[in-house]
Amino acid sequence: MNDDEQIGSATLSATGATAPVAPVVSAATAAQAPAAATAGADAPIMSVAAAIETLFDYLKNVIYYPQRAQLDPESLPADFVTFAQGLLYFGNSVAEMRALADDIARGRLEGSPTSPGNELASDLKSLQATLKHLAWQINQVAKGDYKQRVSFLGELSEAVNNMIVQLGERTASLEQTAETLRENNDMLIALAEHIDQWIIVLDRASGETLYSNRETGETLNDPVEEDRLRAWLIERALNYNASSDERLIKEISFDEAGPWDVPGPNRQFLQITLNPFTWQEHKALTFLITDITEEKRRREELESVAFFDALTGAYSRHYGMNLLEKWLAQGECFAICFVDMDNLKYINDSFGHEAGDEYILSVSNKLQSGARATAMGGTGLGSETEASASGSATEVPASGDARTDETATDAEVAGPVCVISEIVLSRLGGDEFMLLCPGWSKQEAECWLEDVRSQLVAESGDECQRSISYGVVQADGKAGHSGSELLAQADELMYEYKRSRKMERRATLP
Amino acid sequence: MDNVFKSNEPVTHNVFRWENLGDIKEGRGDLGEEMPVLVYRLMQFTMLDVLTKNYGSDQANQLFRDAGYLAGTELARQSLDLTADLDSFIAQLQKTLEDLKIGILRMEAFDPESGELVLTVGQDLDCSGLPITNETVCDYDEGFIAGILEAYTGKHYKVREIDCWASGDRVCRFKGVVE
Ligand SMILES: [Zn+2]
Repeated sequence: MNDDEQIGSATLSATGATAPVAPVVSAATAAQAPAAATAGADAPIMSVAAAIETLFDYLKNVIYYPQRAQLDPESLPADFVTFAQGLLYFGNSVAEMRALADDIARGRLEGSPTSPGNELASDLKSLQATLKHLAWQINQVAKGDYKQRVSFLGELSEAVNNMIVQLGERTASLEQTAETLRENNDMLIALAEHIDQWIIVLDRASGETLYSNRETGETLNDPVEEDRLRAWLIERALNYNASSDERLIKEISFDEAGPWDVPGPNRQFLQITLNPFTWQEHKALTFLITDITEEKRRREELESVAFFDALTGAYSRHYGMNLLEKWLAQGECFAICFVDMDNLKYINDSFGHEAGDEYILSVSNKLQSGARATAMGGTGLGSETEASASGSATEVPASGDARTDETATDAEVAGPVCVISEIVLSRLGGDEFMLLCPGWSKQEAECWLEDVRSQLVAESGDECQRSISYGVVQADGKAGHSGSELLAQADELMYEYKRSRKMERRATLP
Repeated sequence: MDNVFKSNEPVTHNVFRWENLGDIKEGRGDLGEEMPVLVYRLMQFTMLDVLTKNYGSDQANQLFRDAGYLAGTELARQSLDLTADLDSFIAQLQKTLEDLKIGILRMEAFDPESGELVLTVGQDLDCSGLPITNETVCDYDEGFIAGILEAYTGKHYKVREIDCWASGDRVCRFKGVVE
């Protein structure tokens, strides 16, 4: 009891006395304490004041200098031992708490383990548990789990749950967008694969293929051409000049243009459209390659139908009338002849259309051979000088077989003849022909036609006379009448001619 | 003589069946379906006391663990969607334990390879607020969690409490490993 009282009074007096103790002194005392303890049982018992100072220093070290905090309860007077043990326990608990707090502060969530029953650390461990759970939650979100929610963590719950909901919604919306894009992409790919055109995209810097909707070989009839076409495309891409080549549309034939010079059965026409653009940071050039071989063939067929008469190979009415108007506009001098076959209807009716066709051909051939002879200078009756004076640089084809592709393609735009020189024969329909005779006078034309008529009559069989009637009008190079007006005049003259021939025949009959 | 009217009624209350828990709403019209946690703990700790006196503490704890295991298995089958994916299952388990006021479940770690997991239960029904005895006391919870995990995964789990309110912590931390 006595000791207890002494301790009590010592503690009280110590409480008053400790305030002024300097840190240096207490540190020194603390350092001496273990030495005193190791001195053994014979060591002199520490005074109450020294014991209080030792304990105070220990407490101070626990707070301010944890590395130095050491205390040996056995070195203290017996009455202080339990208190010192309690203080040591407290010091250990604080040290563990600090270590854990330091770990958590540095993000080491596993943390230093604390002793069981360290209640000072329990709130910190609770915080540790919360942080670990949040870390797990965030990992869940990272791997796409938006189902978890954090509860009972106040503002943290609200913030994290908000984040999870928002991310979930955003992800769902992005997935939706991605799905739409995927579908669109699939559709574009399917589209690109199914269209007839070959689309190839080349890098303008390297010539490397960035995209192609099919193999080169699938577009070409002749696989031998594959490498050369590819080389041509690459060269185009590498030397692409935006200002001059932009959206160039080029038609290439394998045996006429470009680097392909191989005539043969695989003749193929490609139309190539160029489109420059930037794709995934590549300066690129798109080639849209269309096989137009079939289209070209059909176009030529149509043109031939429009310009030529299928039976005789003479020019069509459409072509002839255009040419007539054109020559008039140019102020050319020429004769316009309207030729009508006699007795065609009778021959058709009596001997069939084959005989009729044969009759038409014979007349047409006679008129055409006359035209050719004129071109060679065989006929003309003094018109030769005029014809050559107007120039004969361009040869006008007399039939579809003789013409070239260039003239056929250009015909519609430029007109068939630039410098007139020879007779042009058109079949106006049924039994009617029109002859345009450049440089000829009316008399010259009539004379020649009369000659043709005589030949026909002479060659006629017994069953029916073959002959022609004609009317000729002179175009004198002065403006005034249209082509159809002049042709109507020639038609009128032809009728007069036909009538007078009938009168003649009637007069000669017995 | 057998009572033919009662042939479909439960034979005994000593075997757990959900039906044996009865119609609580009907039975407790005025007092309602809830009661203080104190009563739950009164029953739990008196039972533990009696079991310990009869069988020793280890055996008593094991009996509690077994009971918890049965409860976990039954609850999982009764109230949880066992076909859900793991993430959904965890979310619904968390919600169920909160709704039933058993505790606040929080996952800390899960290794999909080994199946090993660490989770905490905050404000645990069995132990939160208990005086510190430096023991882990949630043996019933150990069994309960093991039962739920086994019902879902089909694997046998061993669950041990590594931190407990009664050992000075604010949350109970459980580690489960596949056996
Ligand atoms: Zn616990």
